[in-house]
Amino acid sequence: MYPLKQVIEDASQALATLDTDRLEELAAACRGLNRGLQTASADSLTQFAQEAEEARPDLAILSRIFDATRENLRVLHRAQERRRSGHSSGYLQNSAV
Amino acid sequence: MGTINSAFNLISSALDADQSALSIVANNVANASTAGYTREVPNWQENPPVQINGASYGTGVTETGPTSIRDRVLGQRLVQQQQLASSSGARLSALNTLQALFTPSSGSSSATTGEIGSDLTGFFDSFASLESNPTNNALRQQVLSTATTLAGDISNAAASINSQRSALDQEAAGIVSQVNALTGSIAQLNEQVQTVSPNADAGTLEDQRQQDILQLSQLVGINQVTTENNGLSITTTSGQLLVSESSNFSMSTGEVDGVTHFFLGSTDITSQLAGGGGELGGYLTTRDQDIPTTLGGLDQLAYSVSTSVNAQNNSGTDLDGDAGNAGNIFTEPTAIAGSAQAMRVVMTDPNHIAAASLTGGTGDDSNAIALAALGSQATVQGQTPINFYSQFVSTLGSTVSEAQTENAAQNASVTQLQTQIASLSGVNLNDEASSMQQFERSYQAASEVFTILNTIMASALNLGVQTAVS
Repeated sequence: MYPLKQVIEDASQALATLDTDRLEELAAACRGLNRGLQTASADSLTQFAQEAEEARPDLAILSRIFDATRENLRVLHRAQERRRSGHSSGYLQNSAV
Repeated sequence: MGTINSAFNLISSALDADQSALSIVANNVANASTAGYTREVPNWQENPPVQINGASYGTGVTETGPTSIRDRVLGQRLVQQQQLASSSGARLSALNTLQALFTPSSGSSSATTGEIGSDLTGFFDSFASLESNPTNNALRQQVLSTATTLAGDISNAAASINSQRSALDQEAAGIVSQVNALTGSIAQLNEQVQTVSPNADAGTLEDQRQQDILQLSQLVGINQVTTENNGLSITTTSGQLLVSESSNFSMSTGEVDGVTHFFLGSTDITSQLAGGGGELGGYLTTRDQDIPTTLGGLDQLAYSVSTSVNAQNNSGTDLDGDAGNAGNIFTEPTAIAGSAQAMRVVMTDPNHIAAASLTGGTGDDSNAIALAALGSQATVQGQTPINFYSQFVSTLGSTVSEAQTENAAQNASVTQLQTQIASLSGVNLNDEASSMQQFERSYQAASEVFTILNTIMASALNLGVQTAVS
C-alpha cells in the first residue's frame, strides 16, 4: 500500500514541477482513497488516523505550495492580459507583484 | 526603368529583412542554453511608399531590430520568490546546525550537548541516590560527576551557539562586497539600457541586468521601481536606495556591540535587512533572532538550576559539619545572560555536599531530599528543569519545521516560475496558450488532491469518526 505521506510528498513534487499527468493520477488515487474510507473498518480508520498524524507536516508543505501556485497563476493571468493588450515588453511602473 | 528599379529595391529590401530575421533566429538558437537569455523576435517596418507617375507603390519592409519577449510581471514575481527562498534556505541551514546541538547522540564526537535532558535527570537522581546513604563518598562523588557532565554539556552547547553566531556574522558581512559589485553592475547596465532603449530593444543588456537583479535578490531583499527609458531604481525591501538609474549606493559594515551592522551612508539598516529576504536576511534572522532566543533559553536553564541548587546546598549541613555555609556546587551566576557558557562545577570536595538539614546530624538526608526535589519543582520560569528543557527543544524543532515548510514551498514556487518563464521567454517551442493550459490543469488537479486530503485528514485527526468526504 502506498503510504499517505508518500502521496502528499509526490503531490508537492509534481506541483512544483507542474507535472500535470502525475497530479491527475494522484487526484484519481485520492478519490479512490476517499471512497474506500467510506466503507473502511474501524481498524483501517485507526491506521489511517495514524498515517494522517505522521503526514501532517507534509500536508502543511503541500498547502503552502498550493497557495504559492495560486498566486503564481494569478500573476501569469495578469502577464497574459498585459501581453494581449500590447504591453509585452513594458515594465510595470512601481509594480508590487 | 523606375518601375524595375523600384521592384528590385522592394525585393532587395525583403531579402535584407529576411536575412536580418534569420540572424535573430540564429542568435536565439545559439543562446538556447545561455542563462537568462530572452528570446528575440524580429520587428518589421513598412517602408514609405514611392510615387511613380502619380501612382503609389509600396517599397517592402525593413527589419528594424529585435524585440525581446520578456515579461516584467513574471520577472518581478520570480525575483520576489527567489529572495524569499534564499532567505528561508539560509535560515534553515543555520537552524539545522543549531538543532543538531540538541539532538541526542548526534553531536560531534567530542561533545554530548544533545544529552542535556538526560544530564538533568541524572543530576537530580544522584541526590535521590544519596538519600539512601548520605555519608557515602562514592554517592557524593557521583553527585559531583553528574553535575560536571550537566554543566559541561550546557556550557559546550552555549559555546557552540556563540561560535555559530560568529560564523554567521562573518557570512553576512561577506555578502556586502557581492551586493556592492552587483548594484554597481546594475547601475552601469541601467545607463547602457537607457541609452539604447529609446531607439532600439536593449535585449541583451536587459538580460544581463535581469541576471544581476536575480543574483542580487538571492543575496538581499529588494524592490524594483521602473524609471524612464527602461531604467531601474532598486531599493531594499524596507525602502533604502541601492540603485538609482546610473548611480549605485554602496553598503558598508561596522561593528556594533560585538556584531557586524550594515549601513547605507550613515544609516544603520541591520534590523530592516533581517526581515527583508535574501541570504543576508536569512543569516541575520538567525543571528539576531533565532540564536539569541535559543541562547536565552539555555541561559535561563543554567541560571535557574545553578542558583536553586546552590541556594539549597547552602541551606543544609555538609559532612564536615558546616551548617548554612556548605558552599556552591555550581558557579553562582550574577545575571541570566551568559549563565550557560559560564556554567562550571566549582565544588571539588564531595564532603561539602549538604545532604543534612541545618538541625540534623551529618547522617541526616533531609537536604538531599530537598535537593532531589528541585528536579520536580517549578524552578525555571514556572516549569521543572526537565519540562523547561523539553519545551525549549520542542520550540526549536517547531521553528525548524516551519522554516522547512516555508523553504520547500518557496523553492517550489521558484521552480514553477522558472518553468513558465522558460516557456514564455526561453528558446523552445512551447507556446503561451498551451503553457497556461498546462499550468491550470496542474492547479485544478492539485486543488482536488489537496481538498480531499485536507478534509479526510482533518476528519481523521479531529473527529475520528466521520472520515470520508461526502
